[in-house]
Amino acid sequence: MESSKTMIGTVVGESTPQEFRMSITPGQVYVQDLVALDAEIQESGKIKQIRVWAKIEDIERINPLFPREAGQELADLQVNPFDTVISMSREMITASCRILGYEEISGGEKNEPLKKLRYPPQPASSVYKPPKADIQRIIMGNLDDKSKKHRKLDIGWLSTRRDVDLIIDAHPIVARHAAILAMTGAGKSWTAKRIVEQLAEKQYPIVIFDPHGEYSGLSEIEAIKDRVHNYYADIKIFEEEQDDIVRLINGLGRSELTPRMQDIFTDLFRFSSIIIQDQVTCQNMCNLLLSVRPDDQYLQKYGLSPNLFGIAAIGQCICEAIRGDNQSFLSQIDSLGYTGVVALNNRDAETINGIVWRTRRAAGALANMARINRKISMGKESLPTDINTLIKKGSINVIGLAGYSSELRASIYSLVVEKLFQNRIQNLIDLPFLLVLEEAHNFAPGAPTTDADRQALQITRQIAQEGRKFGVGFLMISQRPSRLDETALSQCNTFIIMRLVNPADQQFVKRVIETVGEKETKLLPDLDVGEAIISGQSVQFPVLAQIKSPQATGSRSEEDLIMEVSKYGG
Amino acid sequence: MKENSKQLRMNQMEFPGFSFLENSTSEYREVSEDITKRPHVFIALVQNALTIAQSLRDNYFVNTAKIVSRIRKKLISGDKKISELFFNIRSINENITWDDLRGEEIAFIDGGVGSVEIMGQVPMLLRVGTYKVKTGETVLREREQFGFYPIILGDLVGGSKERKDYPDIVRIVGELLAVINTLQRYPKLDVLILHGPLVYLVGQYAGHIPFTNEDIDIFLKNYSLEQNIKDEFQEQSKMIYPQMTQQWRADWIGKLEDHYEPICFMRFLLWKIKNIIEDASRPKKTLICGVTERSTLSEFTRRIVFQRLLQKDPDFFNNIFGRNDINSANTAVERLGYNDSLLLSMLLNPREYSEPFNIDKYSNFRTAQIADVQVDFRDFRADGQYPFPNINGFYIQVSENTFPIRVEVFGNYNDSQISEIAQRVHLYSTLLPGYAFPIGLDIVDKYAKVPNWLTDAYSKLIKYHLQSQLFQGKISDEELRRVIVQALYATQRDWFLRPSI
Repeated sequence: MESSKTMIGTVVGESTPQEFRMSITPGQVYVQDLVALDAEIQESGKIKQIRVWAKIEDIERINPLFPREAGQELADLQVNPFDTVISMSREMITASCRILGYEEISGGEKNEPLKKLRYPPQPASSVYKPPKADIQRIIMGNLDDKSKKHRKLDIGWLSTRRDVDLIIDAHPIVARHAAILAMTGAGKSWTAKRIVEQLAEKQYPIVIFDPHGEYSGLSEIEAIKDRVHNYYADIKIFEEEQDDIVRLINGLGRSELTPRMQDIFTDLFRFSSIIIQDQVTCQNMCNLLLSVRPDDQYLQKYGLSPNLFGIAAIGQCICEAIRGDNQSFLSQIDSLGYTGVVALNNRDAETINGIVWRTRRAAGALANMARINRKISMGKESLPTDINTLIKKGSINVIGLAGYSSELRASIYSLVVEKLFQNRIQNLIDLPFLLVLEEAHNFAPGAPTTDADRQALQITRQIAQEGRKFGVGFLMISQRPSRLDETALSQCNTFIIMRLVNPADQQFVKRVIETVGEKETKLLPDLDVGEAIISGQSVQFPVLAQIKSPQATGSRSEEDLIMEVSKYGG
Repeated sequence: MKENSKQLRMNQMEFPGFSFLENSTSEYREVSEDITKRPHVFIALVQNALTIAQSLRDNYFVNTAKIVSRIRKKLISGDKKISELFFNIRSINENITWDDLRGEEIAFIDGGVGSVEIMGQVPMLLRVGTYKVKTGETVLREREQFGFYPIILGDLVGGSKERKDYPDIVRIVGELLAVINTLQRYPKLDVLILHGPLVYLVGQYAGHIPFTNEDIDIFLKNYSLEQNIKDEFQEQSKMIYPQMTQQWRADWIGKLEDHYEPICFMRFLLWKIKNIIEDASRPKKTLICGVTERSTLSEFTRRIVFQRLLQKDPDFFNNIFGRNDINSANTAVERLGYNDSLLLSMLLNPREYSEPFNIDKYSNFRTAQIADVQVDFRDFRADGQYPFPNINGFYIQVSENTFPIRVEVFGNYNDSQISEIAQRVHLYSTLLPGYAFPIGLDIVDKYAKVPNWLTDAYSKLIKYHLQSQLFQGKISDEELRRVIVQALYATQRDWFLRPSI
């Protein structure tokens, strides 16, 4: 233990085993600083020298010789108090401190967690600022042990002591879930990227669900760029359940399929799925369709696509064939596998027409989303069919969800994560992995309204409750904690809480997260960008930290739009 | 008694004060409105009205308004000659601000007594506080210095401790020594302000047993003052003591150095202060004053306002009150209950101060008995052989909502010096508009206040000690036991109501 101690205060008033107040030397300490005092306790008949650690929760400053009335006069007259006879030198500055615990001084330091103090410190004790090394040691706990050194994550500094690095334990984050909660612009993605980069150095497999393209910059980091895979989300229509496709059309087609439409769609979808997925039959089908609609330029140019456009094209031709009483065409369709198509009448044709329009609209919307998604996420590949290939030692997989509606995001997330989790349970995936859920309220909504939401929530909860057993953890990131599912959030063991001004979010955090008390809640609206209260199992006690900058920048980092316009046109 | 009860039961409609505004004529309506807008003045007049003779009580408010109105007219008549003959009201220079006084060094001194609670307040500790500040200085240790000088009354041998005014004489001596200490420590001091009169009506303290040599040593040690003060005083008292008593004899007086008669010592200290500030070699001619809030003096009213009024118009009061017996200023003051604060609060506007006037501090010096010796203090009067310094005073109206404060200075201060003092006292008081008192005195009062926890702790210690003595049967005297029991367990009220056994 270093011997240098900077005395900064004296215990005054009443002290308890949980807290004490001290008069402090002006300007020496700040709120959230860690301080210590030496004391003695009796244990098993022996007197032990201990060091009591505490954190400054609040500082009050008062000048008892400065009347309020005078303050008003100075303000009215706009006079500097130093120019008057008012006394400025008799301030009383007191800090209230929460005791974190104690360690034994005698017998050398051990990297043990702090013990709970059961006896109050003595009034008039001197309080000091411990040396940097001791603070580091206390925060890290036993992370310096041989068995745990590899778990260190260097994510920042103590906010009030920039000379003290904040090293936290990675294990609780990856194994027992973590959450980063902050309002927009407070630095949550910055923090998540820092954590991801630190984990990447440890070769830990990571899958990131990225709704806004925040993580596309990971592939620019020299050290890890070969391990970063940017995927765009691709909805393979014919790999989904038909009910899901109906929901998709209902959601994107602007009006829902009626029950009759759904009946006919079932057959249409089944037929299309058989025909389109085989290259030969698909080509033949395309030719057949062109015989009914020779002027269809889309068909001419693109052929029959394995997507909603394809289904719509088939449906349209069938509709026109029925209207035109083209029994030859209909018979061929029937022979290819659409049983009962010849029995469809004109009324059915109109129904099919309705299906076609809705399907086309949905197809258009989906195509737009996919286009935006590819542009933003810079994804070069679509998700692999064998989803297990995502999880490899050192792999960092970024699944871009930008451009998609929240429902689609939830759907894509559910599909991917369910498969990953089930495969992990069945030992088809060898390694543990971390799921990073940016905008986590999309994937763990507090009040799900759609089937997609409910499905996403279900899998998230399952991982929250059981993931630990299988080495599957998640890192939730959200700017609206009050919209998150409480069950999932409460399963997190590490919290990184950044600036939150919404009172509902503050209260939610205070209610759900046990380690956040009244004092911490009061700090939340005033935290700087990049400042965070870190609490939970990754640290010995809640600390106020300044997160270090990640190397990656997002593709959607904010540009100076005013500058852009001013430069436009030269 | 019946008459008083009847008066006390006056209802709101009957009480003249409440209807006098409606009944005011244009002659004094402005004054009436003024009075009703200022509750502290109104209440003071109500109190007066209840204490004066019934025959004067009717229309008391109206008549007061008339008096004030007529005096005001004499002040602002526009005829300079008349206003000069009457009395001067001077104005604080509005253009002087804190900026103009930057760099000045000012000291504030206040004394007080801490008491313990044992069946009433028993004074235990004298404390004098000093606060010296340099305006405009931002380095705190250069800017401000505080001093705290406690004296435990029980450590002193001299002074008649059975007298109620015993703490006063200790306090006055303490304050004067603090002034000397401050002047010596800060030769470049611009202003020194004392809380309270510059000189008290010290005649009332005649008859106290002298302080001893050891008492003065305690004082001097506390104030870090040199022993030569004792030598200087002893030189003087060699001359003065024999004049004070015909029973001067070596065996009574004993060694001079063992006897520091309090009034003599105060006189000595006051002249020492005056000499220090007038010393030609002193870098700055420090201006000294004492400031009193809640003044009860009526000297200005009597000798300046009313006397001059009656000189011009002998029937001034008789005409207003419809009488023929208020023919002198003294009678007017005694019968009508006005004092300087009350009258001037109605005559002065904020930022105005009255002309200075000589305050008679010393005409109450008489003879007194010290032990078995008859001592004559009359030589300390203004016309005596060993006078105290002459003192002038004036009143400053700081704000509309408070009474004017009285400032006392040495009698040889010229108009320029008085103006400087008035300017500063006013400026320091504007920072406490509700209190209208120099803020530096408020600061030093708070700083030097004996904390309650200290006096409570002493009370407990003393009570514990007495209880122990009682329970251990160490007090055999029956009367003493009774007194101690009452001291420990009775409240002040119990003491008064309990019949003596």
